[in-house]
Amino acid sequence: MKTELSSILGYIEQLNNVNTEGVEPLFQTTGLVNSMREDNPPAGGRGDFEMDEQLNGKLIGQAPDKQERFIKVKSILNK
Amino acid sequence: MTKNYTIKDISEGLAKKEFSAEEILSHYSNKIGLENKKLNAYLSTLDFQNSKFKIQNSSLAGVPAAIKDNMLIDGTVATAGSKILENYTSAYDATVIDKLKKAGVQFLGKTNMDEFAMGSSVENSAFGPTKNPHDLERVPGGSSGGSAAAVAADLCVFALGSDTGGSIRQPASFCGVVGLKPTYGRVSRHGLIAMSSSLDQIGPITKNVYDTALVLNTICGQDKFDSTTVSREVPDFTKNLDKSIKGLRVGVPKEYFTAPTGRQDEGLSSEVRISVQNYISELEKLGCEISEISLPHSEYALAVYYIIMPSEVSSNLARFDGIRYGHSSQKSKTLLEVYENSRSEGFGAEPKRRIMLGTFALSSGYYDAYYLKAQKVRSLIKKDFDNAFGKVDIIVGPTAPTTAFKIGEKSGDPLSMYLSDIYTVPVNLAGLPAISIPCGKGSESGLLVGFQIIANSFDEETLLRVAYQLENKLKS
Repeated sequence: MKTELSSILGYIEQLNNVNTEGVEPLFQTTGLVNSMREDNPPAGGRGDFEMDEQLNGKLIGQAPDKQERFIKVKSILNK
Repeated sequence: MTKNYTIKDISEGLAKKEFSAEEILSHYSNKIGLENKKLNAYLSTLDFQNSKFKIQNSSLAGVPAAIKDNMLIDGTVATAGSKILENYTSAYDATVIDKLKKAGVQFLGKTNMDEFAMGSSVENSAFGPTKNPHDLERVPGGSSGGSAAAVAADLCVFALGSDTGGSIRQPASFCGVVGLKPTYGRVSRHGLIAMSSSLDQIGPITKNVYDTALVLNTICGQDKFDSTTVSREVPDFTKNLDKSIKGLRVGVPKEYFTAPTGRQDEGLSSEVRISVQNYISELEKLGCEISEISLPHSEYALAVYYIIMPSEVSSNLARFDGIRYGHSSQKSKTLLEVYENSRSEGFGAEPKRRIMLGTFALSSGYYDAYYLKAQKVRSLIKKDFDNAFGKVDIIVGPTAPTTAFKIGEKSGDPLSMYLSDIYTVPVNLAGLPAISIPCGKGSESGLLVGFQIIANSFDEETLLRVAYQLENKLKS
């Protein structure tokens, strides 16, 4: 793994040959800035996903450790 | 029923009542049962019927399709080719799946892929490689290799793939089928397991260009669940396929015909060069004006890609933590151990390699030198294309530098594998649409060659028109 990563980083080094003075970075290509939506969710929900018992079950149901509607995790602090 | 069906064949056959949708579905299911073992194109098959296939006015109604295993179909397993998601069941439909369901498409199964779409050969799949249907000792390309192989072997009528650096076009090239990467922002990625969010795009893999246009018609459009989709009128992509391309200005980048810097052994193979040049002269015969152009920064595209993509990978794959879903290590006592062990056990070598590279490139001391520098060079790559599209309408060249390589040939050398995407990666960095169409067989290997056509942003119409007419010219 170490040799592979070194060879990839070695390949990447060639970017140092490119003069990027005064060049703006391009983080994305759509040109979209802040895609907004109306903030008027219907009562009791987000309006896009209808969260009900079934979907909740599908989402929480895959956690390896859970209790009722909650995901359980191992203790973070030593007891 | 032995024919290699296209979408058009299915719609016409159904309309004329030559066969029923049930018959077509069982024809393909049986075929998969017989032939998949040898190819390993499908990771799982589905046995539910889409009751919407009776919809009258959809050209995709009743058409059996294969879906790359990184897209979610509600209630079915989606592994993304990884052990970490081996038992993960999708909780909802991806937007593309929802659209195809509503159009009456039948889903045959989920196709094999490099783990999290990281690779160019499907050898990085946790569930074994897919074989190229034209030569079982060779790779089908990747990462959407299962989808491309399924289409090439007629184990489905069409398939969906995803393309981050060439993952639709390169396997289409190796398997002799048509593969389109749409413009970034054209197709929603909601429900696609993310690899590199500023590059990923879903697209069709089909048996001909007309079918690609049909599938694109159905899957594209703005989506409130993917804020990177663009609000833009969607034309009927089949409508102008016949419109003359006489006088169209075609650019041939000189850099695509020379070896990339530093790796003279990895340049364009002579048989691919010959096949591609033959196709360029066919375009000339169709009345196109061919000229040489320059994309001077293309030689840096792969280096840029191998900074930006792993950076985004390291961030996107952080969600696989062994807590909410996916593989969770049983031998852990503390929360930190759950994270560490689940990820160490669940991820294969390539995701680990990329997570480490990306974490390194984004770390505070190196951010400017690697990540920011790469985004600046990306800007120059995009400017090269902008300049070129001031002079020409489309750009053409090879899809991949070689034909399909042997299984195992490049797996010991990641960098050599990466170079297989040298002509496809710049297109993703610039967010442009591009297609790979079959371009005959290589004169030495007798293996299939792919021809790449690149258009300006959101100009899939011109792209498909050129591809369609080239395909027709060579059929006749």
